[in-house]
Amino acid sequence: MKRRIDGRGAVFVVIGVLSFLLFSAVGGAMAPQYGGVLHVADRLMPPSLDPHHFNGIDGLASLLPFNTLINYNQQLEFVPELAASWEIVDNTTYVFYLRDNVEFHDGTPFDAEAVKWNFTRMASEYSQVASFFSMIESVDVIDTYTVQFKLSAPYAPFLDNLVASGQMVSPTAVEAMGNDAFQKNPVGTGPFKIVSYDAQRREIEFVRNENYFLEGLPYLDGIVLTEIPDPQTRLLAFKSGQFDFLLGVPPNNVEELIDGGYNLASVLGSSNTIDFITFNTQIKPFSDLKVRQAIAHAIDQELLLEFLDHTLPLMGPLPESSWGSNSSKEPFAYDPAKARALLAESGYPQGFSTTLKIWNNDPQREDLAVVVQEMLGQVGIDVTIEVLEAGTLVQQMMQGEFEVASLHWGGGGSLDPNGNLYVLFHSESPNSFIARYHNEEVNALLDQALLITDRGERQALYQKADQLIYDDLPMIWFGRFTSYVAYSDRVHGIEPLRPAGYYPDKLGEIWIQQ
Amino acid sequence: MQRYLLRRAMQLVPIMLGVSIITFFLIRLVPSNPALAILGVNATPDQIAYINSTYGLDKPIPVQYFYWMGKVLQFDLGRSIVHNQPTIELIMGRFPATLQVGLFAMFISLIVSLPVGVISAVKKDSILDVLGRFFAFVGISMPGFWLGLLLIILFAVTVPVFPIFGFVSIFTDFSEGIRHQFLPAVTLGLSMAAMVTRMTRSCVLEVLQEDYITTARGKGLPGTLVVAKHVLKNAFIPVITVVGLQVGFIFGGSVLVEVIFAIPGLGRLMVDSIAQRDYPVIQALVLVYAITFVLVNLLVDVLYAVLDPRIRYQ
Amino acid sequence: METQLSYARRSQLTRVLAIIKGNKLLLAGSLIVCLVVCTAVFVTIDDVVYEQALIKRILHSPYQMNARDRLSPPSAFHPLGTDQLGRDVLARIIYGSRVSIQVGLLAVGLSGAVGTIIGVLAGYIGGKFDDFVMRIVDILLAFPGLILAIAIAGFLGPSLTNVIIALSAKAWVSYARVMRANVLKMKDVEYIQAAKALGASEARIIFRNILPNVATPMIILATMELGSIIISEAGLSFLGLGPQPPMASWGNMLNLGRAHITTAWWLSAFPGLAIFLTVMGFNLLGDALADAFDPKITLPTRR
Repeated sequence: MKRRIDGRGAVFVVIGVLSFLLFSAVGGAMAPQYGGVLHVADRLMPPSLDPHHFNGIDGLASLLPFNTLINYNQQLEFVPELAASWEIVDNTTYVFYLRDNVEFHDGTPFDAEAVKWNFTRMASEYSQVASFFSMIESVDVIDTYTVQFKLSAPYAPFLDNLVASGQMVSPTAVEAMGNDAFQKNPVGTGPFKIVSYDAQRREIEFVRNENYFLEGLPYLDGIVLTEIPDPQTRLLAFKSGQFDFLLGVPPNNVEELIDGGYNLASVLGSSNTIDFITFNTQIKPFSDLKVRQAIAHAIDQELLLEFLDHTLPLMGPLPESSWGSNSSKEPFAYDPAKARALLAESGYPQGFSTTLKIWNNDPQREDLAVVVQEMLGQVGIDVTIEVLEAGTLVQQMMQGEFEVASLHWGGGGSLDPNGNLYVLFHSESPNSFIARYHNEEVNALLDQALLITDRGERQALYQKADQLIYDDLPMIWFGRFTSYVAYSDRVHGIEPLRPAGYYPDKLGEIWIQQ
Repeated sequence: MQRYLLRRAMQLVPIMLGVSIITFFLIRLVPSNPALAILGVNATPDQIAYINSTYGLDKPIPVQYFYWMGKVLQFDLGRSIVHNQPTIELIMGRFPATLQVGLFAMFISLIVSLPVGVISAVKKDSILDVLGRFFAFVGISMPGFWLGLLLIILFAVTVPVFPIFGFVSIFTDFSEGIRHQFLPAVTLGLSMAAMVTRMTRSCVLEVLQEDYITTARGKGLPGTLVVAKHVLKNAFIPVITVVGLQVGFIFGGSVLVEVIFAIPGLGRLMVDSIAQRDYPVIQALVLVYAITFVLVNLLVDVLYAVLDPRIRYQ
Repeated sequence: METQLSYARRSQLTRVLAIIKGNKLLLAGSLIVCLVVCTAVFVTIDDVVYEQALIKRILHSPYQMNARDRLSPPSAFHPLGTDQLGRDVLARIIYGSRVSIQVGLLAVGLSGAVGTIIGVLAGYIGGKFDDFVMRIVDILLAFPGLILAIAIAGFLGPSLTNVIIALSAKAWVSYARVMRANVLKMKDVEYIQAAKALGASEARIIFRNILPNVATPMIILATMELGSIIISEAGLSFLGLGPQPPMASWGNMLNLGRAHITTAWWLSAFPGLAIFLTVMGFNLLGDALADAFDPKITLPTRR
């Protein structure tokens, strides 16, 4: 359920719609063992575990007690979860056939009424996921285990949004305890039940759900998450052996952990997270394509990545792994002479001065800014770096008060290319303030791609839009910052990964060697 | 004595009013928006409007202030926007950690500084005095957070004797509590120890030069007895003031120490809340800090007045 | 009267020299302070006039990055090692002295000037104005200092100017109090009253008669404040609320060094040492000055 680019504090949390890539292979053909408690060193204790009102911070703890109707498999295809199967009747009608053996932790049966109740709650004022389901016109109960969604207009990434944001909570529990209490005492259908939310000791404890709908799962007796916000302290605590699992490995310490014999996994995977430098294309000099091209030629991307630890190369607004990405794009060569010539052509032979805004508490982005400042200085562009608190930066950008800024984008809510292309570059998108980009041709392509449910046809549209946007250079897509998790040798079953989340999928299948 | 207490308490009223006004307006002078800080770039106008209206942020600032103040007078410090929980609960949840580390730090600093200060003064210019003064200089010049880092390098990496993170209440497990809070307390206590050492030394020195001490010595009383009986009692009066003032230092220092050692105390709450623009929490915290600070100093003044009756009539 | 004053000054000068010669702590303090201040002056000239040419000649540019020489331990080429972008740590520490001294002097200067003006006026005018000022002073004293600074810097956003504002917000209070007390004392002194009787204007009395006489305690107070201001600045920078990249500041370097604490100790050890020694220098100097000239002033307690 990562769906936003977000600020500080949440910088790590927001790494986005992600998946794991195993860094080192996990033990071979051992049979899973039951029992044991997994101790996790976590970054942040989410103030709310209610998936419909997460208040900007979510984490592993928000996933453990819940399920969604459907999910992704490793190939990013949709697979059943709480729904046993589904049917796309037409591009505005979806029917889900639910499992009939699922109960919430409080004994409430999971059925079509519960689904309807959940989507009503998600559309309410209290909900913070409403925008992901605003296209739903009605949810109709067909029979006890069949539910039909009617959309007000075709919206191709509907299923993606269900995976990312459509967690099912227990209606009776919410009604009995009220929204505020539910945030600290979540009740869902997931493999683990909450035991305690200890705000003082900064610990959340979960215990095995004995009635989990997947037979024989989970393996673990429980999971305990302890908040240690400081990355270095957290790392040291993990290395001292007090924890089996470490979330948010600082990039500088990756080699050290590998040398120490720990298992590491990247949480970037086939997600659509990107890191970029964006221009305010509505104002001079950045409204001039030649100026943007000059900047692209002035930045030595290869050298830049050498400075930034664990940053994957990126070309354009979609990672190569996305099915919407166009692979025929040509890289911009590092060519300072050409950059100077382009600047001269557009009337800035002496270069100009500008301000690059970034948010604070993001050391890697600070390094990026410093290196880019140096590189642009070489062609006469005098860059001042301004570090702002994240909320302030976002507000300034919304009001158009920026020239150049560097941000992180978590995929805009789903694994669909729509989350990177439409959300960032369509003129009508609420997030278009990030690049202030306007191109009628791109708008038309993106609109069209929302109406069709066939992936092959959509792919052609997205690849075309990808190329157009890339040529227009409203941003410099310099790379993808990688974030890692680490775990000890005792921990197994991390292999089935959740491409759309930050954490392992099938949490029930993690086991500990006794 | 009662009148003195009453007078002192009355003086607090305008001070606290001023504190509340400054806190409230300080935060709102700067353009930022808690809704954006919480929801980030993806905040929709609806969500922003919802958060703003829920927390009354859409009203004129003076109206917000009077609304807030009215609540505060009923001991309602508002709800945290991020945690969706009464701030008073949040603060009470975090207070024990800060209190425990702070008291422990104060304890460590006093058991070090008082003897060192007294010996330094009594044996003025001896090698002990030089060492004592050197210690005081080092302590007062040492940035606490640097000391914390050095201790972490030493104890986490080289000699893993003390845990380097987290909080264990001494009421749950006494020895674990002490073990967990030892390094943070030393980090926080050192510069305090240095300041109190200096104060003790100069106070004791001053008293030693007073006539009646010279007289007592002249009467042939042994040195230790003189120090114990006459000097310490008089010298500790100003020392108490300094200790009272240190409460403010502990609050400030605890922010850094809690960040370094991952202690869930008030300081961490403060740093996090500033980052998240959680207005109600910051307001409440600053108010609580100021009230505690003022009350401790009131207590010190009262103690002072008890020990030295002359003060009351000033 | 004039002769009396200048006589007093001359005798003070002789006393100063005699004291510096005889006092090893004062000597040590002066040496450290001189060294740091000279470094900061050198850095300012080098940066503004020569664009780092001088330091490049003797060492390295503090901004020169090197992708192939990142996080290298201390060596003959890089005496204190390099940071995560391959920049020379010693050069950056040298450049960092400028921020510390700049913030220290500006914050002390700002709070000193504001405090002096307000204190003099309060003491001189008295009455309602004095009451009002003292109320404000009381209110500000109710805030724990660093907490207030963190709140202000946190809200204004990270920058050098904001750090100075945040640190001065409460610091002026101690100057105002010292000033006011002295002015009140001076008001009754015979020669001030004589000057008044002779028809000297109030401004003249303040500038010619009162200010010179309270200069000594103010300078001592300022020197001692410098140390704690420098520590506070480093603390704010450490929390990410200080001056921004690529500017080198000691607190900032410590903050970055912390990310490498298990792998590159030199990144957190040396900047901290620089802060420590500098603060020690100011404290030694301030303390020794106080000892020598005004035994009644003791080191301010950090709040």
